[in-house]
Amino acid sequence: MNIKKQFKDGLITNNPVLVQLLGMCSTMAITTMFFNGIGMGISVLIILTCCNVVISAMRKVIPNDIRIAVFVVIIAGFVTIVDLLLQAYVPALSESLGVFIPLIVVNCIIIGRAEAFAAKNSIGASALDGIFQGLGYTIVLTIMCVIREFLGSGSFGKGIINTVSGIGTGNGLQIFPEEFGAKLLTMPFGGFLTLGCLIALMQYALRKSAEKKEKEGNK
Amino acid sequence: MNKIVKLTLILFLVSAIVAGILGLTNMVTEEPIRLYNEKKTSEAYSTVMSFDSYEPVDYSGDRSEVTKVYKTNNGDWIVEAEVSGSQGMITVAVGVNADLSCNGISIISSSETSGLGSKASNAEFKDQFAGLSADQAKVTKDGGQINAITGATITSRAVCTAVGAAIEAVGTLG
Repeated sequence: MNIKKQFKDGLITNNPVLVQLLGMCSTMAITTMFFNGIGMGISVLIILTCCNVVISAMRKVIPNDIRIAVFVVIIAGFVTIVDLLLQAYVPALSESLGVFIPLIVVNCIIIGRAEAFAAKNSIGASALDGIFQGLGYTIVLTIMCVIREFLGSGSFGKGIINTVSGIGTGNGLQIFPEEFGAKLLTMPFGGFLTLGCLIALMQYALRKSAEKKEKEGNK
Repeated sequence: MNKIVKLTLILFLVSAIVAGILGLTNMVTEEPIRLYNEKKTSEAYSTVMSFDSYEPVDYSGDRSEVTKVYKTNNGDWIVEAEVSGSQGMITVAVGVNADLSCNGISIISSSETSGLGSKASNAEFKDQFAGLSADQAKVTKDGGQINAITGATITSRAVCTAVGAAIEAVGTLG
């Protein structure tokens, strides 16, 4: 396992959202404005990295029979810590993400990476895996937010740009009047649509690059 | 048998450690969270009614939506009501004048669809309630004077229900 491969895995070839299709529930529900995407992404990144590190450090101590139970306890612990910290120090984000922060406990990205990676690899590699997978998740979420926010309500960077009072209260740049937005894109249905298009694009790009490699190999 | 004891012990230990850490986090965050909630509620109250002080009043009437009732020093009322919207519960603070008209409303918390139901917090919708009686505080379709939010009739109706409940509750108390 080297860093470069892990980086590429997390962001592109094994992207948690676009390729592994993990964490769909939160992806559909919260990607309606820029601030949500970044906030959710970073929360998951932090939780994922912490869980990966702890689980990797304990992988030789945890008996195989109860490993899932132990993972869930550790994950729930970290999620609750992040939830409390957000409520206390970034209440605007906590409010707009609502129940989806506590729901990270059952977000399959975390338990998936714990089981598939952290339980088998060294602490360092697991930490990197957490960071890169988290980044991959954050980037896709942010892209979806930008698309849905722009097409759905005609604005960009809601929550971050034009801040009124504290983080997360900004109105964003209104690019065209909100009334002209395609409202269905802000609903979960629009989430599926956006995600479908992104996955198609991703697969197209992956196939193209695979074909290119093959051709080069044949020469 | 030995194995079960060992597994139980390990799981117990892990849970105990996690619980301990959570306890510590809670100690640190409890105060800021409480302060924030208080600040938010008092901000909502002062937008719906002007007052110097208020005190809680017990309400045990029929309108189960009403969760809290306060009487201000001027004889007006502030009512908190919880109604179910299209996505979840909506908590609304309603200022009720002594003559049983609505003074103003403020959405304390809601989880309505962003861009549709969430517009209930916009002044355009909220300000319509000022000065209305319980009968007038209904969406136009139901014979009232409130223009519903486009694409969010359920949310609009829910907020109207909250206002109606608040005024009715005050009516029985007042």
